[in-house]
Amino acid sequence: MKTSVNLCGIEFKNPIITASGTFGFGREYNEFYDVGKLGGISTKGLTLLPREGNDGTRIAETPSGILNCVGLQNPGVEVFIERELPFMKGLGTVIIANAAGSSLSDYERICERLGQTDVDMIELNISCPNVKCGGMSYGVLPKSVEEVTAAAKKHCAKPLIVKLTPNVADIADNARAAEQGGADAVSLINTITGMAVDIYRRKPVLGNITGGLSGPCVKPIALRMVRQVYKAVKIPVIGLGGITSARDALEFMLCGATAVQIGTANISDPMAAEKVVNDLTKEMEKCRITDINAIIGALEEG
Amino acid sequence: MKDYIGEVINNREIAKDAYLLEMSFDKLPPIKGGQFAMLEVPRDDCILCRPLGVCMADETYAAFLYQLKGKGTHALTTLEKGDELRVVMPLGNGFPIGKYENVAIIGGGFGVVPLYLTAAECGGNARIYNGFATKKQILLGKEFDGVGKLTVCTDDGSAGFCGFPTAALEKDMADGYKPDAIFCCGPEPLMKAVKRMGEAKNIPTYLSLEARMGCGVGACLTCTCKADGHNKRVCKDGPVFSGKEVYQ
Repeated sequence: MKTSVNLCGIEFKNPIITASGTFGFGREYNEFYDVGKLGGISTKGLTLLPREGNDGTRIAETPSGILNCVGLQNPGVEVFIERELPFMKGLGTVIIANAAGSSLSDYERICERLGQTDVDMIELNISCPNVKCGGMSYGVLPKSVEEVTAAAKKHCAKPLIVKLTPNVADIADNARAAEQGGADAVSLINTITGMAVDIYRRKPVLGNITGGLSGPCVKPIALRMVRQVYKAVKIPVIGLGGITSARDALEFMLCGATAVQIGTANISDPMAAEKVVNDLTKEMEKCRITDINAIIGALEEG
Repeated sequence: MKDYIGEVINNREIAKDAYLLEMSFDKLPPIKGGQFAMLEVPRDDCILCRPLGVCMADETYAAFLYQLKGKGTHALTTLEKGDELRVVMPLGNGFPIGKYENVAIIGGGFGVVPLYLTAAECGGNARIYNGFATKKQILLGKEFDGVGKLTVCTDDGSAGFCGFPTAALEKDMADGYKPDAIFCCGPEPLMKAVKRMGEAKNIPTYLSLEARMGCGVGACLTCTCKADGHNKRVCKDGPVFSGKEVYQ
């Protein structure tokens, strides 16, 4: 059984990557299982300077999903490089640094800095819905997606993945814009902006009022968008959105994803990503394939 | 910490909307008073585990006492003897048991749950002040009586000391009792009162905080609280914080 995939020249032992913001820097989950079994880890979103994140309630459970408004709490890129990256490099999995900025020059500088380290890839976060400056504001209009991608790419010595937001008119346009700007791959979807309300307190549940929706409830939307984007661009697509099982992972790959990310499932169950890795070959057998690459984009429409 | 599959031995309502869930396990590690567990909810559309203080535990047994509050806890009430459930534990830091000889323990409402193990581990030396709204809401009265010197307090005076547990402790202190530290778990106003009391009397306080939680293991950063001006994780850096660093 061949489970390895190649993404932008980087070899992944399997296509299972843990999604940014749900896995820290791998330390906590490594206490539960050897996270080196994963294909890759995308780090918590990193900013140039440390960030405290948002105040107030940051999570709400919704039917088959969650809303979060953490707001990119992170130790900053320098602390990451000094304290977390050496640990991560010892894990034996592909390390993707998720980079977030509040301005165009932030994105340039953080990509430049991360490019000098031994992270394997950089994932450009232009899709966080929970910060006032930057984040999703760069990811909504295709013109801006192209601009920020081009600026980051110019300063980026590593393969660049652009993480797309689903909160847009036509995600295929945004994927094409990222490709035009020089992205080596796109990942989608980030969370869908949503809200939860407490009628007795007459207040929003979340401190930030709105948050990002994720989990199994968004999977059908994510699948549709991955399919659309796969057809719109030539660069590889990383699919995510509500994946909790190996079967879910293969659904995304069938729709065109070369690799997938597991996000919210890690929060539901600390063993979730390992279970997906363990079940992968069993599901491949059921799909009658011996090489996982055979399923990428092989959906038969019509 | 690890994830375990436990088997339900018993799950019954012991006071209004208060359920005691007893489970058996193959082998559990030592669990400290004030640590908690994440319990899977037996309902597909509730994807988050529920963080519950560990009430009682030994090598093959753990008991949780939970309040019926919403969909998730309602689903927990449907568990029956023989059902299996995924439980991640022990999580969080727990109280600094062993650091102090004479500890005053203050609990409020469901906040008393993690204090039973805490009191037991203090070796019978602790004075326990548990407060409830009325006599009907009293939890684990008999159990706590066996692990320390218990003063039950009710807001309306329907049982025990009439007033908040902080007032009961103040009264004992006026009579000469001097604890080395105060451990507290309860509603925020009670914990703030304990913090103020500790500061006024120069006694260290330790407060077990609650927050809406995601992963419970320190990764998702959704259960943060302000501690010394920074956002710290209730699940991993806590849930027990020094009174000095929180509610500033």
